Amino acid sequence: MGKRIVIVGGGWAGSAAALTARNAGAEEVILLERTDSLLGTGLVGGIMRNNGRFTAAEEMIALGAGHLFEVCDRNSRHVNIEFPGHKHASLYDVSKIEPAVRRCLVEHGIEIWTFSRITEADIDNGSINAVLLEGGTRVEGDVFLDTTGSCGAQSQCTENGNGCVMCVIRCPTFGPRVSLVEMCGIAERNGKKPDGTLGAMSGSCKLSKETIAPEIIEEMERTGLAIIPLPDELKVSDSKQSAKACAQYALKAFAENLILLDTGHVKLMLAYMPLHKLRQLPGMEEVKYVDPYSGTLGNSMRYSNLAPRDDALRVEGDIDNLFCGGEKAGLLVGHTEAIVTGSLGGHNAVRAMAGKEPIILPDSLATGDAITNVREEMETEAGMCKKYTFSGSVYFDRMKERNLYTTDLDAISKRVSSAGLEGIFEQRVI
Amino acid sequence: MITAECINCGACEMDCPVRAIAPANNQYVIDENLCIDCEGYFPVARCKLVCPVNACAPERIKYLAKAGTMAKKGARPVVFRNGGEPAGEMIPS
Ligand SMILES: Cc1cc2nc3c(=O)[nH]c(=O)nc-3n(C[C@H](O)[C@H](O)[C@H](O)COP(=O)(O)OP(=O)(O)OC[C@H]3O[C@@H](n4cnc5c(N)ncnc54)[C@H](O)[C@@H]3O)c2cc1C
Repeated sequence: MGKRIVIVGGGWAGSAAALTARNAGAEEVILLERTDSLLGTGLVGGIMRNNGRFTAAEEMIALGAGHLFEVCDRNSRHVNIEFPGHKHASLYDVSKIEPAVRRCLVEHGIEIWTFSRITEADIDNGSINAVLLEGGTRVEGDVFLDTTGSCGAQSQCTENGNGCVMCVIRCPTFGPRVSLVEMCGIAERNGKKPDGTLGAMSGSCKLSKETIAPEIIEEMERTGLAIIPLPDELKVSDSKQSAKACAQYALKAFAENLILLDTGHVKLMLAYMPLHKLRQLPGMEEVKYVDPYSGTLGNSMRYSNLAPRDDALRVEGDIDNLFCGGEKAGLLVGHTEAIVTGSLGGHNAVRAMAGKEPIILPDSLATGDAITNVREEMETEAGMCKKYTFSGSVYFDRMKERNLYTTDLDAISKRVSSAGLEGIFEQRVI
Repeated sequence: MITAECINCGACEMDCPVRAIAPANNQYVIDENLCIDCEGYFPVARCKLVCPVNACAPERIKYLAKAGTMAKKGARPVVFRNGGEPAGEMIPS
């Protein structure tokens, strides 16, 4: 019997999958990442534990997949803060998180390969034998995971967005995202904007702290956030709001105010704004973008190449050893969400390797309900135009309706143990 | 491939012998499945010739070489594992 799990894409989903695969007993876990660093879009995010993400994070901890949440908690600049529409958020430090995650993975015996973009798959008789790196190296494995995300490539950003805006994904340097599922000849789907056009634009930018007035920075560092009311002529139009990937931030407060969050850089809760307009605001006269560099014009486009998958995160189609996680697995947006699906995919990959039935998280858990609900929603045209997250919009509403949202740690651990799943992701299956 | 320098003039679309070029949101794009690099029609790719701002790079191979990624330029994987120094060669040779 085989023994190696190969994970393609080192974002939050791939990192989470690597940990659960290893903890389930996989002897060798190789994580392939095309750039020089892990975390993908997670290098510029930072918001954790807001609204229902708190519940989801605590469920994962109770399920035994808490390592990455602990790393985020340890590297948080702020905990339990509130901003419009969002309660008890933590903000991890985007400048410190990557080395911390990398250390955690290496300490768990995971092998991380950077500068390793896969561009080909060797498939035989309905199984993947190996993936090939752009430079020619062949990496064999027994079970594979596609956690390549849904961000870019430049062609997507050009055709469906405002062009390449030079974001942290750095397509020109490392080569654009390539989907393993697509290489297997499995038809994928694309998320849509409410108007039916393809993709969705990422909803926040990073500004350089040094370029903003000290009193704003002081306020932001003390409380976690700063809110600057926008004059009428700078208020964001409804159409721009609805094009955003992050429906949970498509609230009035975000259109009428500039909301700045302290994630190490200054996280500006807007998809983009022309620099000369941003500079009209008091205290922002000298402001500068750090991600995307051209935040003046647009942001990265996401949600192309979504894999058909079941609730165990197995990719549906004619390949028998392929799982997925993260944005690849559908329209569930966010770091927490990527860790949830990645963790389940990684664990089930090892089960498949051991010839065991995969586990499916029950709908008595928010995490299980979200995985099933989003899969079902994505089967409809209207569902493909929405975005889902534990932190707001349609899925958080559903969480509340079904009494799945809580911050009561006892209740969460009870619901996990009554499902018989306490510590499941720490148990070896091989 | 038409690069972001495209100014939307439409000259390439008009001259393309196989109608492989069409306007997209912010610029014109070449449908790579239709483009034949003008083979059999013109000695030099037509869009490249007529583009006033040098944004049309129809020959995929040449474009890829020009836009070579780190790996294309020879960077090898760098491997991180427990108990070892990062192994590999980071700088393209
Ligand atoms: C600007 C921005 C801000 C955000 N802010 C937040 C936030 O504050 N809170 C939050 O919860 N969510 C936020 N999100 C969303 C969140 O980052 C994502 O939903 C989540 O991190 C997705 O993780 P992932 O692992 O699925 O994909 P990604 O992060 O896209 O990772 C995919 C990885 O795969 C690699 N890859 C792709 N193709 C290949 C290949 N062929 N070979 C090898 N490697 C490959 C990529 O380089 C990348 O590292 C933000 C997103 C953006 C863009």
